[in-house]
Amino acid sequence: MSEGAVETILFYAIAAMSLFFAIATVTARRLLRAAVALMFVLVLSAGFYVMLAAEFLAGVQVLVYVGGIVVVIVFVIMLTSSVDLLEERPPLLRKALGALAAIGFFGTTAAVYLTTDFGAAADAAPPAESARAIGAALLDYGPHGYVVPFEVISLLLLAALVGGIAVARRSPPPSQPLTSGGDLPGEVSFTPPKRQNDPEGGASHA
Amino acid sequence: MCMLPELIVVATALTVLVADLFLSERRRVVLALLTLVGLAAALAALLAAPAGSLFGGRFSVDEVAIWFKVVFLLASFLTVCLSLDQLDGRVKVRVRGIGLRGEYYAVLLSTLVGAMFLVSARDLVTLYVSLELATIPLFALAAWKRSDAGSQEAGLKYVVMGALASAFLLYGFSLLFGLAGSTDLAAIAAAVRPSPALFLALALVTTGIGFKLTLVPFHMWAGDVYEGAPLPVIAYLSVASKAVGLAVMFQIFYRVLGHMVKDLGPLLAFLAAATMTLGNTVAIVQRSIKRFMAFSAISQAGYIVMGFLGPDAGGVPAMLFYMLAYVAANMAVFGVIIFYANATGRERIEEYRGLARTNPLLALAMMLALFSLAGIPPLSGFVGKFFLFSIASKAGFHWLVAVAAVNSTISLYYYLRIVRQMYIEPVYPEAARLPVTPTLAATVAVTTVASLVLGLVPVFYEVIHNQTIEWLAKLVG
Repeated sequence: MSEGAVETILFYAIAAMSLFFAIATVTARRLLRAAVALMFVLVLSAGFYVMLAAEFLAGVQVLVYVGGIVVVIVFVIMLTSSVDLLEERPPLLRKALGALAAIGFFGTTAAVYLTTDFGAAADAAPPAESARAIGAALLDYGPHGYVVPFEVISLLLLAALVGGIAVARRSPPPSQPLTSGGDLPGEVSFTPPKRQNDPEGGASHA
Repeated sequence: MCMLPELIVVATALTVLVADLFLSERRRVVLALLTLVGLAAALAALLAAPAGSLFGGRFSVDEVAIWFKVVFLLASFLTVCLSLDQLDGRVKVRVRGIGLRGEYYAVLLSTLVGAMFLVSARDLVTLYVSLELATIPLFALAAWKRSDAGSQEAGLKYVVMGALASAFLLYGFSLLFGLAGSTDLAAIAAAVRPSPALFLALALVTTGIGFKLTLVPFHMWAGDVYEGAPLPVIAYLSVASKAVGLAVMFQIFYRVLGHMVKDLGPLLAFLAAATMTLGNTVAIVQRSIKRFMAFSAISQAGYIVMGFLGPDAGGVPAMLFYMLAYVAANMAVFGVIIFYANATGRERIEEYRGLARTNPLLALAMMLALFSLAGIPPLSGFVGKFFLFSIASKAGFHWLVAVAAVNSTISLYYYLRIVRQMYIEPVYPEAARLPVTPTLAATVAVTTVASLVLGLVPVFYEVIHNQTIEWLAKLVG
C-alpha cells in the first residue's frame, strides 16, 4: 500500500472520530462527559495538524487546549460540584431550529468549498513549519514579520489578567467606608465573618 | 516616530497600574489625573507626528487612521472624566462594588491601545489581535461592579456573545487568507475576485463587525449589557466600541474590498435600514435610560453605515465627521445621566422629571445633546446626518433616505420624551438644586459646546474632508 493511501485512511479515521466526539460534546447531558469528549476532539485536531506537517502547532494545541483549557473546565466542574448536574432537555422546537441552523451552515460552507478554487493559498509558499522559523517570524520586524501582533498579544494577556483578577476579587465588606470603593489597603487584612462550613476561611489571604 | 501615541498610552497604562501599588487609598485620586495627562500627551503626539509607517509597512498611519485615533483618544479622555467621580467616591449615591481604580484605568487604556493598533494594522493577524485587545478588556469592565448581579450578568453575556462574534470573524478571516494566500491586506485586495467563497467570508466578517457596531440582527447583546454595566463603561461602549467596529469595517470594506464596495450597496443599505428602524422602534418603549441609550446607539450605527454606500469617496469624511459629532453629543448625554445617577441614583426616564427646575443648565445641555443625536439643525448631528443622507441619495438609495428621514422623526419623538420629563413634568416635591462636581460640569459643558460648534463652524468638516477625500482613491488606485 502506498504512503498516500495510508495517509488517506488515517485522515478519514481521524475525521470520523473527531466528528463522533464533537457530536458527543454537544449532545452529552453530563458536563463532565462533554468536557472529556471535547478533549478528544482537541487531541484529534492536533492529529490533523501533524498530518499537515505542522508539528509545532500540534504540540501547542495539545499543551494549550488539552493541557490547559480542558483541565480548567474539568476543575471548574469538579469545584462547583456540578458533576451530577444534568443539562435540561431542550424543547423540540429549539432542537429542530438548532439542527436546521447547523445543517444550513454546513450546507452553505460545503457548497462553497466544493465550488471554490483555493489556488492562491495552495500555491503560496508553505508556511514555516519548525518552531525556529515561527519564532523568527514572530520577532521579525521586517515586512514579513509579526512583531506587532506578538507585542499586542502580550498587552492583551496583561489586560485580561488584570481585568479577570479585578472582577474575581472579593467585593468590599459592607462595614467599609463608602468612599473606599473596595481598594482600601485595609481590605488586605480583612477577614470575612466566620461562618460554619466556610471552606476558604481566611486562607486566601496567606 | 508614528507609533509614539500608542507607546505613550501603553506607558501610561503600566504607570497607572504600578503607581496604584505604591499609593495609599487617599492618594489614589491622582491616578485619574495621571491617566488624563497620558491621554492628552498621546493626543498631542498624534497631532504632532506625521503620517508614516513602521516595520516594513506592517504598522502604518495615514490620514484616516489619525482621525480614528483622535476619536478613540477623545472618547477615552471623556470616559475617564466621567468615571473619576464614581471611582473616587465623590457621589451622593454610591455604586456598590465599583472600585479598584488603578486596574480600571489600566484596563480602559489597554482597550484604547487595541483600538489604536487596529486602525494602523496592515495584515489580518494584527487586525484580529488588536480587535481582541480592544474587546476582551471590555468584558471585564462591563462586570466591574462586583457584588452586583446585573453587572456580572452583563459581563457574562458580553463574553459569550463576544466569543461567538469573534469566532465568526476569525472564520471569515481564514477564508480570506485561503483565497489570497497572504495575510497582508493589500495583497488580499489584489488577489480576491468575486466568488461564493468571498461572499461567505464577507458574510462571516460582517457578522463579527456587526457585533461590535451593533448592527441588526447582531445587536441582541447591547440592551442587556448596557443595562448592567457601570455607566461610564456604557459611555465608552456606545462611542469608542462603535468607532472600533467602524474602523474594522473601513479596513475590510475599503482596504480589502475597495474596488467592489459599490456592489455591496444593497446589502449595506438593508443592514442600515434594519438597524435604524429596529433601534428606533425599540427605543420608544424603553423605561430605563440605560436601555434607552443602548437602542439609541443602535439606531445611530444604522445612520453611520449609510456612508459606505457612496459612489465616490465622499462617505469617508462624512462617516468620520458623524463619528466625531456623535462622540460629542453622546458623551454630553452620558455626562448628565452620570451626574443624575451620582446625585440621586435615579436611572429611569420618568425620574428625570423636573430636572430643568433644579439644574437648568444641565437640563439645557442634555436637551441640546439629545437634539444633536436626533439631528435638529443647527447642531452637529444634523450636519453629520445631512452628509450621510446625501451620500445615500447620490448613490441612488432614495428609499433608504426616506426610511432614514422617517426614523429621524421617530427618534425626535423619543428624545423629546426625556426633554418633556425634564421641562414639563412637575418637579419632585422635596427637590433642591443638585450639586455637580467640577469635572462633570466641565465635561458636559465642553461636549455640549463641541456638538454646537462642530455644526455651526464649517472649518472642522472642511479639514476632515480635505484630509481624507483622497484616501479611498489612493487605495483603489
